[in-house]
Amino acid sequence: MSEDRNSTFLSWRSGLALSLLLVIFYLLPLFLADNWLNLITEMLIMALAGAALNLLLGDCGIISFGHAGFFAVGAYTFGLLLYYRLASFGAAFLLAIAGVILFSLIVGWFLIRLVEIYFSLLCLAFSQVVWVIVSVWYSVTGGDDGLNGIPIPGLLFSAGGSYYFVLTVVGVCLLLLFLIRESPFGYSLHAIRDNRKRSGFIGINQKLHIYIAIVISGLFCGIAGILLVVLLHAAFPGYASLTKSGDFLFVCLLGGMYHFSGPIVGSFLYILLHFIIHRYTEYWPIFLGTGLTVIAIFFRGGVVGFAMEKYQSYLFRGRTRNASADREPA
Amino acid sequence: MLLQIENLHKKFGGISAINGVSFGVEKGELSSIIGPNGAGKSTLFNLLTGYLPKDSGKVIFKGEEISNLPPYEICKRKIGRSFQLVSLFQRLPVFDNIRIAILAGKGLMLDFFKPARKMVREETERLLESIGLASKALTSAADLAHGEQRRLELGIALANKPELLFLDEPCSGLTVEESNIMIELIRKLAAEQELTVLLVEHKMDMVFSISRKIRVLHEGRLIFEGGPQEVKSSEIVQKVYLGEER
Repeated sequence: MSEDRNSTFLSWRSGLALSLLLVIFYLLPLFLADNWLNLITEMLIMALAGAALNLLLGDCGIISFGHAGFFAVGAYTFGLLLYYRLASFGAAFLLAIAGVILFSLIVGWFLIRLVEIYFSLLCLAFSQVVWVIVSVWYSVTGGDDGLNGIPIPGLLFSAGGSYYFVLTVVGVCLLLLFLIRESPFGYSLHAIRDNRKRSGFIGINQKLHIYIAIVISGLFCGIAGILLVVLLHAAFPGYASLTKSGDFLFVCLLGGMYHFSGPIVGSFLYILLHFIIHRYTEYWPIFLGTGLTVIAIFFRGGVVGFAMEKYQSYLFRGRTRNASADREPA
Repeated sequence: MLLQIENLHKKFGGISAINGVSFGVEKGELSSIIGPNGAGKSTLFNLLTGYLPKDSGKVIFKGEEISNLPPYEICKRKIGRSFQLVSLFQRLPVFDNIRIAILAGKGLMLDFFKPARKMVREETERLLESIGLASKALTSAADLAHGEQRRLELGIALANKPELLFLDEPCSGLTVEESNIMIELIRKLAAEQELTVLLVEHKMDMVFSISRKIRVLHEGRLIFEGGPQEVKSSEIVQKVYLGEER
């Protein structure tokens, strides 16, 4: 049956490519200087946050303007627990995850009652609440100076150490997100994205599914926040800012939100471009704005969508599941 | 009675869209609802499938009151529906349109780690075969011709193996030839799967050829119920409905 060709997603070819990529990533610290290694660590963290957001954005068709809220809740819960020596590294990690889940459950309970622009703006509102709390509560969070000098175990203190830790955690999280996307639950999100009304009539409890998607998405975004604290040994109110939420959205659009690899590729490009352009000029937002305009007008499918359309006949013999997803349906 | 509707009411603002409708549907019946534009046919379907809340009245399916349930709960009780305007999962291939509907119909959607593309394959292929879309399995729903989209629309409605199926103008926008194919398809599937079908349709020849019983809706009221011949000869029906058509 022709459907079999459809299952190229973990064919020997992509399996081989993935293993090779993993080996390269694990060997990178042998070749790269610390500052480059830190840059790649940052890319991995952004990739996780972007992929987490994309579970709502690309897979479920729901736009959140406030994912930085989840990111900051993870970062600050973790950072505060370590800063005040309230928990060991491992315990702080787990407690921060629990904190993000709790926050997502509360926020999600309100969010599922809203749709479209109201949903997006309520996400923004929640993230702004987090932002205000962390930026004015000087006695606890250090206010806009942030939390500096968060004690991170010696093993993870070096660029190489934090890189390996982040690589492993991001790898496991991306694998989980990928499995979720390809599971019946992931398919149900695609159904809700494409036709919310009909998805109810085929037996999907949309609100419940969206609620679960918000919690999963928030959880992984929060883990990304924790990882940034591991890398920088610090937490800042900027983690909860609207700009941060915008960055997450941007990497999804840049890479292509209808492909799992979209936000990952988008994050690598975004941070690399930011790094290069920042060397020459401080007017980075001009390039950001121009880039967004070009994508919105010419490359709706993002970098990955564009590449898939151009080269998929070379890469895959059959069509992939979302082959035509990058185009707007008629 | 498989389905019993008792004194159903629905108002939109000051307009009574459904004004005290009562009737029963026997198991295995293939019947139609006709009526001029604005008679309340689609509203009735939306009330019966949980898309709109009723004002008052009862909808009893197999002895259970279902009129307060949301669509996904009604779907679980083996009631399916299709839409007047095709309502598909546009970005997804035909195969996944059906597969998702089958998975959802079986209540398998809250499974987080099993690869969905390995699930319910044979069943999906069988259903695609029966609606004649097997050769289009990998095409996006958006890229299908209208006649094919109509058949996919029907296929999605069949995926939860319904006992009772509401079809809202299954032939709308189809050519005569395509309509005939659709009618044959509905007749065949209804017979094979012992379906009870209630359909709304504007094409009179289709209604008269396919249905054993016809109900006429006018301004939110059921004004006539009977076999095709009785409906054709009924004066009151001619006045409100067939008269306008000629």
